[in-house]
Amino acid sequence: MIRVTFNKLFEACVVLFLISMAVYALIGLMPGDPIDIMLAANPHATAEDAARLRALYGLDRPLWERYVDWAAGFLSGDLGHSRLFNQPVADLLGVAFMNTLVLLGCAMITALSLALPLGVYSACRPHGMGAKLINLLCYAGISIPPFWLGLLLITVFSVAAGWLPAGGMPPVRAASGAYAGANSSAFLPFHYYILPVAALALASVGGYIRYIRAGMIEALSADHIRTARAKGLSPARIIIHHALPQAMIPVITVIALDFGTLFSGAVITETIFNWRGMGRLVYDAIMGNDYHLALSALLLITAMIVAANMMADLLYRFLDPRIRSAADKTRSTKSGGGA
Amino acid sequence: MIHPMTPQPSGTLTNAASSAVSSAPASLSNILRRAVFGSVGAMIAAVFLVFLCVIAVFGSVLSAWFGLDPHHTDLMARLGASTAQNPLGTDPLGRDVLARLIAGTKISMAIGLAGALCAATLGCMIGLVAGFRGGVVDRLLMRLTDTVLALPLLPLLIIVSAIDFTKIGLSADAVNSPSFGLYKMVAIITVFAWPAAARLVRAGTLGAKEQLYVTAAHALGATDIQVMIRHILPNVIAPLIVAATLAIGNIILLESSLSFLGLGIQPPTASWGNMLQGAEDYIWDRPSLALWPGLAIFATVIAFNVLGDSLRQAYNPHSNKK
Repeated sequence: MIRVTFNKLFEACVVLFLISMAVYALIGLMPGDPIDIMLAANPHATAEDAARLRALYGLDRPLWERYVDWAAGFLSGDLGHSRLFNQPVADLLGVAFMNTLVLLGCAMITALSLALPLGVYSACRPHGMGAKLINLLCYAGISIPPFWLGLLLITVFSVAAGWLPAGGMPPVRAASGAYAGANSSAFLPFHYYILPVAALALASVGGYIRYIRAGMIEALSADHIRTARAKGLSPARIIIHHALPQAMIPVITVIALDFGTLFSGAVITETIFNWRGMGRLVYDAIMGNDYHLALSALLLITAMIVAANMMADLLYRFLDPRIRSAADKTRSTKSGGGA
Repeated sequence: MIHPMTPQPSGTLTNAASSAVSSAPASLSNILRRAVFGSVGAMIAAVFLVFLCVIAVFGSVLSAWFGLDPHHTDLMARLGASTAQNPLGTDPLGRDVLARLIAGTKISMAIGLAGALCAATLGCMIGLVAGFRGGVVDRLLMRLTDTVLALPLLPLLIIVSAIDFTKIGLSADAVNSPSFGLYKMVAIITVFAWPAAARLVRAGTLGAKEQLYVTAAHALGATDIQVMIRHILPNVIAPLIVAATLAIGNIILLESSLSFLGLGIQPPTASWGNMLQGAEDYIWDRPSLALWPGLAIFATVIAFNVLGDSLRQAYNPHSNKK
């Protein structure tokens, strides 16, 4: 178990290292030059000024040298300075990370607490009217464009009804400047959470219901469930005590593996609702030619997703005693792959 | 489910082996027929998709017939309500929303279909090689597949979409041409969408390569490439088609998300995603502006998902309704 964990950690580091190199190479292909943008507003700037600034920022050196510099800084904890927001990158990332984590956490809890009863219900009565309705809901949830869902929610609850704010952050804080330091991660009034969380939760609930239903159907067909039924246990007891724990093992894994998808949804949600999280930070950084900020943010996001995947894998091993070693795993996929 | 559809390179051994194994032969057309006519939902989805294809192909002719031009701006008629002349109203530049919706159909369908096809092809090749070769090649390719699967798709796509292609040697004229955006989107999506297909094909290949007829084909002197294409590929093509159909919907969603963020198809070319770009700015004045393009994406993606699920069930009727 410990060896497996270390192997996974090592692999994750290799992945992050490769991604940082690939993205740094992509930065060389980005349109425009930060110096051009800096000087665009200054009519007195000369070509010498531009050259001097390039040398100052180190932009005249080859890409790989800059990468080594950046990587050395990154490893020693110096993420650099964001030109766009005129703040240390680390501060920006800290605030955005917390905001995203709150959004993702709330959305995941909301989605799961909706999906769990619906998924279990449709697995227990797979041919009933209710299951058909839930199935329809799943199709809708999986197929709805997340940004359109956000727009619809704003249209209905902010524009037409006027109940909830359309933007994710209160106006007072917006006036004090975007990403305004560490104090801006203080908790918001409750109603600011409702629409963004609802948008993200609704976009992922369809997938969750499907996972839970599939897991439950499989669990309910197991031998020990039939034994429990034959013993005369009540259906509620069978579902809650016998089927659900077994069904949740693959469901937890799949949902953790799906973290990347949830995150992609968060990028859209954050953009629509002006939520100052990681996704919006990457978007703003790319739009504002602040490529170092984009790189650091992307690496942090990737690290989050890799960590979630790793946790999914370890959790699966922990929860399911049948899978203990990597050798078993490959053997089972190989023999199971012939379908 | 084994069904070597291609004629065998002579040798009764191969035929005997395959007919012994394939107890329930299901040809592709069989699966397709069962999938489409199997349920009311799938039939509606199929009819709707055929309708969309007709719109995509003949859309420009149709718009011209009714005197609608997706690129004609009229600043005096900004954000117009629906009239006889503009059935769905006009956008912030006074362009007709219906005409742009029709023009966007072509873009979304083209990117969805081409993206799924390219991703399936690339994934198929990688999966075939990984499964067939095994060993180090397999381990490396599958590690790559897992890595790409673990990437944060949308943030990465945002970065990749922003690349300035003149810096990798493409001419400025080519980059600025309207069709370049289309190729760019398909290429970018292909680069990140292949792993699912690769995993699927690898799993199928691992199973198929142990079959007797593959051994027989080897014994008869078939080269590796021949075996892969003529004997293994037919075994993995059906699940691949199912996965690709389901992928089309996701790719359309992805394209529209990127275009909505202003990084996909660039205006004035209309796409369903970029029609919604900036819609949140006008949501207070004319909320209906956001309605139609979103509804188009929603309906199309649902149709592809329903059809894909129906295909999966037709291909594997014993599977649970997942």
